[in-house]
Amino acid sequence: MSKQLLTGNESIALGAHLASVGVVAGYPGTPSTEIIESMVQADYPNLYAEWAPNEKVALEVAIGASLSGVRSMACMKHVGVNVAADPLMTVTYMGVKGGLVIITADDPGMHSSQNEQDNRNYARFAKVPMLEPSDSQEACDMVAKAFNISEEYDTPVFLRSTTRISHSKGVVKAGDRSATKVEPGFSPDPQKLVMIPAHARKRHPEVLKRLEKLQKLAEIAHNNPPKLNRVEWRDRSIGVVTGGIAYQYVREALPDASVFKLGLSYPLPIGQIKSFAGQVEQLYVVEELDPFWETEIRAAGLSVIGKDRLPSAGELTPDIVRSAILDGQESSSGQQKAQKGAVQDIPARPPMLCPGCPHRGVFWALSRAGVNVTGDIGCYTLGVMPPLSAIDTTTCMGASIGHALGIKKALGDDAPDTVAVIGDSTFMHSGMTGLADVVYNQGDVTTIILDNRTTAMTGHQGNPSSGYNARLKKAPRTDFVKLARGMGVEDVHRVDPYDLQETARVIKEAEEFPGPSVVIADRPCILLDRDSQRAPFEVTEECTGCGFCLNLGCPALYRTGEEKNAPVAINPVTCTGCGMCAEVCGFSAIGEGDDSQ
Amino acid sequence: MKQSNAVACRDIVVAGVGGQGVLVATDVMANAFMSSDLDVKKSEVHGMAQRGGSVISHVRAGPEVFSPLILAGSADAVMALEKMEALRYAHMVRRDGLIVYNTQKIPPVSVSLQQDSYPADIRDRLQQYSSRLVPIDALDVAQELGNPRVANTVLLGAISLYTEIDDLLWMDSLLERVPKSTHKVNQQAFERGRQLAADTAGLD
Ligand SMILES: Cc1ncc(C[n+]2csc(CCOP(=O)(O)OP(=O)(O)O)c2C)c(N)n1
Repeated sequence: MSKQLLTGNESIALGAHLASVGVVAGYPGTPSTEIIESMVQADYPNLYAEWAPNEKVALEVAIGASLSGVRSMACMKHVGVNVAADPLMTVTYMGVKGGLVIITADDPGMHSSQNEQDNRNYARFAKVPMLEPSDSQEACDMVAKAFNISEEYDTPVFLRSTTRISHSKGVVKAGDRSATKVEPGFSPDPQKLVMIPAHARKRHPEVLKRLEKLQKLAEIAHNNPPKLNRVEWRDRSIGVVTGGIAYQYVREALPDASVFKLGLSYPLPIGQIKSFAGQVEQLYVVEELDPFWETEIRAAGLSVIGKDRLPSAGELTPDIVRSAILDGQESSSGQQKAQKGAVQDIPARPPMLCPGCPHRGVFWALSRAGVNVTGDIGCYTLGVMPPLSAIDTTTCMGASIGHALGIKKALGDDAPDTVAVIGDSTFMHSGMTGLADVVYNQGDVTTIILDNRTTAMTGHQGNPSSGYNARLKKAPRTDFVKLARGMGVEDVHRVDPYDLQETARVIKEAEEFPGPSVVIADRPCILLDRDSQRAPFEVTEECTGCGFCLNLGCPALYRTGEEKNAPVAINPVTCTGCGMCAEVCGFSAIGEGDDSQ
Repeated sequence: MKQSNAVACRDIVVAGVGGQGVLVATDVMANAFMSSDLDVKKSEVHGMAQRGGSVISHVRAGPEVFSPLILAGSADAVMALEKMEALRYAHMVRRDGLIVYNTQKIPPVSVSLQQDSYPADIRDRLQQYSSRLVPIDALDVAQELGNPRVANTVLLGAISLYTEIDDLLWMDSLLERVPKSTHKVNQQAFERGRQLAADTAGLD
């Protein structure tokens, strides 16, 4: 097969196909999303692929498939594993039938996440082996290895990627396709599959025995198949234990150092590492985020330099690795030394709600209503950015509704007016239980569901309320009005967020209603619904340059000059003709553009 | 057309504003390197950062590439799809590296709100990082050609002059990645960019 330039995610998808995976389920989340997307795009045969409403369900589906003797995979971002942790911690007792691989895509540096937890800890926590590729080729090749280990050791297996693996492209040569030796079919085995206490008590010791066997595998994994680890001898004054993307940074920054490269992140080959340490002058551990390997290596009695020099927060870079290890001796090449540092005094350019984003209408209303807003996670979290500055909390998916209820219950009659905002995908993921709580415990909370009919943040994946599935085929749509009513909410509204006045009025009415209210802000994401785009709006001579419209925070609006009252203009390429700026202009100085063009 | 006699660019940082097409531009570049039989790595940005924020992508080529990220101060070139973004990432380029940038300005919202001002002296400040500047009014060229969306292609044409990749491989890689209906205008944009760079550099 010829070589291809693939992202880590595309490589995992290809690797899964080559390993004959039969069922893949996931919930979108950067940086994991494109794994399922590219499996669907490639239209691999004999594959069932789905977006589940959340990661817990995704893993449960994958477990069901595995127990049916079919190789299955669950894909999620790092925080998704928190949601899936409940089935995870028990499937580890049950084991598998068809291979079960869980992809965790971590996000050191938080390019698109609310935290940067290090999911290698889940491997130790769940006593499950974890594989970690260092580039696209390994990402592809490790999937089959993960499935083989899963079936051979009767365990789920983690494959951990990070943003720089998932979203870096590298050259990949695909190997041959392999298949499972497991026969498909579900056969009841309650002792192993029904985790009542009596059965689970017998399974836990099995998990510990399995871990011992995996430790033995780790000790030989550097020179025997599946060849997960690798020792590279070069100059022996520096020996580095590393893995994942950090391996590449070490090779870049310290090309002469000897390296113990871990592809099996857990369990560690402590015996082999000891022998490596004995043959180098100084042992280093270079790992991103937590001192996960370092802690184990220290516990084995080795002295090592690691997090005393390297940061535990944020991404590593080749620059950081070089200066940490060379300790300033030679901390940069001649060329680098000659270059000036980055400019510090230019305006930042943070991400913004897009021109024509329907969320803007709701945040405009909220920013003017003087209410507390508990927020959630999605594109709409950008409502926190100035000038809208309309979100007061964001914790994790689904948290907005519980937070609003907590504020109301804690402060009773003194509680500030509090509104929860939550996207459609997030509501399906984990918002419904929050709303159930509001109804059940009679909280005076208004929940605004920002229904743009898609999971926009991660690239427009379908969800149970959007009407299309992972293969972009038509699917049933959850009806939010009926759902809210069915859950016991009496005060339910639907409003078009482009209509700013009506949106403000409806939110006020819901807010004043004593008891649970739901407002559905109903308009598709402008990036999906190109048909609803209109000709760009235009600013007329009437513009006084008051700049009021700029408070919408629309990136298509800009001032034509530096002076205080420079008139505003609209970028005709990015304007989608939503008309919100015309609605807020007090001088009728913004009008519809000419549609005929 | 002749190639630049300076060191051929292999480590290239591409910067721009989310939505401008950094991903497509770097895909074209990376594929062109791969078809020239070099090892290639490329880092991308997806997700939240893409929504109109500042975006950077690294493309690296060579006999064997390790890190997908380029060490600061060692890129052979920075190619910026927006003027201020050129300055933001200028420190990535090596002292005698190349900065190819679109002179188009996209003011961030804080500038429109007059809380910040758009830097006035970008060219002079870029000079402090490298004297090899190739400013190109790519949007203007693209509009002349009748399609503002091919501005990035103009810049790719410009930077192509400084790579060891054959023009034809560049063109194949470009046409593979853009819609069929735009092949002609993309081809023209690429050639115009290459010509403009040659004129700026006084190489032709
Ligand atoms: C547990 C978890 N899974 C996935 C994500 C990634 N993620 C963030 S927001 C979001 C959903 C956004 O969709 P929606 O709520 O419909 O809002 P939109 O982006 O469309 O405005 C996802 C999948 C996450 N942050 N946490």
